[in-house]
Amino acid sequence: MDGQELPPGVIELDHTADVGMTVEAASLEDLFRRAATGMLWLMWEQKVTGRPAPATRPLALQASAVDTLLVRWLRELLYLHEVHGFVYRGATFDTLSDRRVLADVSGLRASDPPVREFKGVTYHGLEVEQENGRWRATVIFDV
Amino acid sequence: MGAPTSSMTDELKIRQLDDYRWLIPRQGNMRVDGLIYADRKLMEDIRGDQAIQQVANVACLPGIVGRSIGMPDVHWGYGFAIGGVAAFDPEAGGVVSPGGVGYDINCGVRLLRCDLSLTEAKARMPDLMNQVMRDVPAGVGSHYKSFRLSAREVKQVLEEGARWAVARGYGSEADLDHIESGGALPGARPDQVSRRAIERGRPQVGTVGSGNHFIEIGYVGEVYDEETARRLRLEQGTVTVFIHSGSRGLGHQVCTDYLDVMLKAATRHGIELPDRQLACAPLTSPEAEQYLGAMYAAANFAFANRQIMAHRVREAFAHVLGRPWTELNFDLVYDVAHNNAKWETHEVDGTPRRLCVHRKGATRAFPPGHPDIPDMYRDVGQPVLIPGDMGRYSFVLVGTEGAFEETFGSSCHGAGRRMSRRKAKRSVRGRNLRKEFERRGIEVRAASFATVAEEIPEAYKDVAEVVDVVDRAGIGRKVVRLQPLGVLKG
Repeated sequence: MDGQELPPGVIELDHTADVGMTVEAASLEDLFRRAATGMLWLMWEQKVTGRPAPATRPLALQASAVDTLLVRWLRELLYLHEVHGFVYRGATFDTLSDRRVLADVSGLRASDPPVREFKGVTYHGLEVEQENGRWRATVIFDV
Repeated sequence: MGAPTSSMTDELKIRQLDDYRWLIPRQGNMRVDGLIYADRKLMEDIRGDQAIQQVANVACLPGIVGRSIGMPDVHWGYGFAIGGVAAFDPEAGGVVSPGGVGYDINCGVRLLRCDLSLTEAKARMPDLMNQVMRDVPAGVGSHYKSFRLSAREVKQVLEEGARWAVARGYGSEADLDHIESGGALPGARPDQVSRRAIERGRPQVGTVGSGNHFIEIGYVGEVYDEETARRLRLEQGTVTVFIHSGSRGLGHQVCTDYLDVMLKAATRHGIELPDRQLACAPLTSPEAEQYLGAMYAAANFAFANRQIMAHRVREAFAHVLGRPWTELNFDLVYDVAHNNAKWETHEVDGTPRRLCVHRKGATRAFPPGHPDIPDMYRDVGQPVLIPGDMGRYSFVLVGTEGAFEETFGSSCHGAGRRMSRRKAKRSVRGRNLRKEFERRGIEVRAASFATVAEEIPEAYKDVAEVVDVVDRAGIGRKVVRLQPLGVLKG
């Protein structure tokens, strides 16, 4: 990124038309948190600032596999931002397995709009894997 | 003609057929051959990413007929390459894939022309651009504060498309004759569009959005075919307006919703996917019927979106110039979609077949005489609108018999990116882009100059090279070149 360091564990991928990232973390919870922060960073090109949203939002999502679950998690956060102006700030997980997430998400009302919008979180090149105790994900967004 | 050569790209065998055609012979799980239109120079760019593999992946889908095609502006997308065309036969198990249409359903362009003199247009360009920027919301999440449709109204838009806008005073009946499919695809099913999609669409009809979307004021800088240019009313020096946008958040949500539906359907129907973003269902399945209904509804939203923006641009000109837009003969030349899947009849192996033709980053380019071309253009062929990057030029072509025979009546859709957004931004460090565009004689307005940095001319292939390949390969015919005077970016 120009003049800004990406959050820890997040690397931007070069893609001709779209934008992608790889994310690494020691736990699945942190992978989901870092993926959320990384996605927002790629949209704002910096850490999002603003005033805290008054209430947390409960999220309950299911999927057939952990990679699909990550896509749904990110999509849900994009939707909350676009429609409700609620920007992810952090999450407390009640449950996070390969197929289910139950979380309380805290958010921000961002001071500035993002630099770019993501039309969608794609399945293209999607990977989530655990190797030597570390989680690693690759996600590509449609711009 | 260059000598045919063979090579391997990422283990895919490719053979050059002639100066503008590269064959990916059927191999692995491919059911048909792939074919890419490019000269040697463009092919070097195309080899630089995963577009060729993606053209081959599409060739693996059930029921594909003819060839999986990549236009000269083809580049790496998700699932289908951007610049890809593929047709599927329902009677041969053919499928429909949301990834073959894209998130921005019916992203497309429309071109208007007016009788304003070039001298006056140049003199008033700052005022015109300022007014357009005031009147048409652009940028990330662009929306109207005081123009938010109810859910019921959105459903009417999904059904009626551009006609909904015209009925409410945004444009004229004559506009509808100059839009692909009359500005409304039949078979739209608003009941198959999710509440979320409608919610996302409510404040966004009539907005540009961000990314590569734009409104551009320009003029006819060069005429290649005087008679056809006259028929399109695009004579030398004519002032024009290009509008590029799509179905905004509503379309993105429809694609998102149906990707999941199609992933399940693909599993149930035993379809092996080389890329999950190619999730699809047989055209005869209920899932396909639902998706097509929802996708056509989103396409109609896009037609209405461009119709409202076009009208607001006309009003902006009228305001600045102190003359009604009708007095300026501010008419729509044509409006074409870049991202859709439509039922069309094409000949395959000598037999006419009803096919679902996917165009993702590709333009319909029907030849003279085709019944789907409006009367006023039927003898010259369908106008094909090809915007370039924001600093150089754009082109207007017409469809040809060659396109109908080889590419299911399709042509390219633009310049095609050659540089990632990250690389583009890195390359503009320390440069004053506003000044650079001023030196080129282009007034730039932007919701964010970060978008302009990503969209610099060198981030794209030279659209003149792309269009030359289309013209020389016979899948489109050049009519005029347009020069930009002012650009509004999201």
